[in-house]
Amino acid sequence: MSVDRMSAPTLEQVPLRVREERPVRVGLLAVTGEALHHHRRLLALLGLGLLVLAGPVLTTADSVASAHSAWSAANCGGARLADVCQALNLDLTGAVLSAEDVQLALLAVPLLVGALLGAPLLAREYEQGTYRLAWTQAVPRGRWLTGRLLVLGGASVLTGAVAALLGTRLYLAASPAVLRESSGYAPLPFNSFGPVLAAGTVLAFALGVLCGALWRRTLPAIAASVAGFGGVALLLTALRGDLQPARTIFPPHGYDLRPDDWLMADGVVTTDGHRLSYAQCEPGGCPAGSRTFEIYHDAGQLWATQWTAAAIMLALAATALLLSYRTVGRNRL
Amino acid sequence: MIPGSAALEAVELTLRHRRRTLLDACSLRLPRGAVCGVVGPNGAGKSLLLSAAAGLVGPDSGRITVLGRPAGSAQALPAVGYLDQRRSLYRRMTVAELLATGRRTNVRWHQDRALELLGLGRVPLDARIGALSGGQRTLAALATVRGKAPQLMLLDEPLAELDPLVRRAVLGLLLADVADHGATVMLSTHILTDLDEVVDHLVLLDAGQVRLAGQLSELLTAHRFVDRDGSSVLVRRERPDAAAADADGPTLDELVVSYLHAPGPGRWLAPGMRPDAPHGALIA
Repeated sequence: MSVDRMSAPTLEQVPLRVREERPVRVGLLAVTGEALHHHRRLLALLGLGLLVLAGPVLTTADSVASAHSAWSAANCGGARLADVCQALNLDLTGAVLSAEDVQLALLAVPLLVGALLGAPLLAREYEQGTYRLAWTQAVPRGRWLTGRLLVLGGASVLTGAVAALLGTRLYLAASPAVLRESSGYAPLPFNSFGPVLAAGTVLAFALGVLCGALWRRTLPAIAASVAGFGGVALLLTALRGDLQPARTIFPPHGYDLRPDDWLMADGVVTTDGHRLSYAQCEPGGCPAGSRTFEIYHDAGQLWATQWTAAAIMLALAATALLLSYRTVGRNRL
Repeated sequence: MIPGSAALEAVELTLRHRRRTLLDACSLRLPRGAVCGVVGPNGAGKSLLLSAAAGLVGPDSGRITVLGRPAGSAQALPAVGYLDQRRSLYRRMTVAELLATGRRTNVRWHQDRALELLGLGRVPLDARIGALSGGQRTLAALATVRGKAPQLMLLDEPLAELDPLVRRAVLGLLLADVADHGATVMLSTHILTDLDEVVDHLVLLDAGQVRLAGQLSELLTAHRFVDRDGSSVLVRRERPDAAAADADGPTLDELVVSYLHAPGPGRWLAPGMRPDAPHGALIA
């Protein structure tokens, strides 16, 4: 091949790119490991606390279960008033009452998690100034926060789940309910088992983190998170009857629901279609020809109600965590 | 880091807090390898400037970059070391745990450099931070900064609680880092005598404004005392009356005091410390 037939070498122009150093960073795994190491004592304490809680819950559940099965085996339903039945009923009532104390202790789990794990996560760093150390190492503060949330948030999820399982064991021990107080719809049991307790624990943690980011002092953050979670829990408890559609039936006689059902309203439907509560019936009695009605939540709707409340709490928790990231990211003086 | 970029560059950096302007349109550029003293009266904004450079407080307007990266960004953090004025450390950790945390939360870690600093004050590794004396605590905090082997060290009153002997030894180590590793040091102080032999750059802050910034030799030669109406007045050399043959150069003390007591808003940035816009525009 002759030289002149070769095309002249053309230099292709390559846009010059400034060579960037490979971004060196401390990975999330290492950051999480550091958070785990940093909070190892708190986590050990938490585990110990759960063990201490599990004891009374399980023994109480056992005594409730045995009182409940003794009652069921005696077949005392209906109007039998035998001495044996009265004694068994007394046993069961006593067991259910002592279960309420334990359920109150379970209600404290979210509050404690919010106050001890959530609120101090950021508030302590701000209060003691250690955020200046933590956020000037090689780990950007967003990733630092993610590491802390994975460890302490993960611990909250686990704690919530364990408490919820314990609460569920206690609730199921008295199920199907003989007494209205141990119905899953009653305020105390409703908040002390299942998805509501698990999600509530996570929400309390997230609210604690957010309050710490906003208040920057531990005690105010704890107070605010306890008040915030308490408010949400009370509101959801008040609204739990509206989370699932209520059912209406027209039974031949009133007062025939099981203790596990939740009566919302009852009364009569007059012949011209108006609904009257029993109290609204005139002194002379309800109008002739009217039928009784009952609006209620069926026992079978309980889990759907629980999951709905839990979903609302988890959405609020996610919002609180997002706001925490934003607050931490802002370089507020 | 971006090659050729300044160690620190602030352009119209402004920080406000509840309607008070704490840093007021500060502009300055610190070259690599400098040892820069930040001086000024209490409340001048020295600590704030350093913590803005560390990325802990963000500008309300203007911008601040370190090593060519936005202050506090993921790219800047690994190369910047920061000693805060209060030496905020986890009080319940032991010194050894503090160093271990430094190792785990940094990209590079030089345990030997950290230990070297601790050795200056005979700081016991198994002591809790909360049990250390003020000076030892400063050394422990400095150890985490130096262990990180940062290219830029932002040190807020690093020498305040150290006894004179340790003070000299610490300065020696920091200067060695500058000489051996090309590090840049920016340290705040209100004791000028510490600085005379150590710093080669000076930033004077007053009421949130940069009053004076430049290489030390540059600053000293740029000013002259002249006799005016029987009293000695400091003027900048470019002024015609400063060319008088008998004009005296000021000492560092005299220079700083003159600027702080100047009746008008005396302000001068030596050419070497003025942020140049075109380069700055590339980063933004």
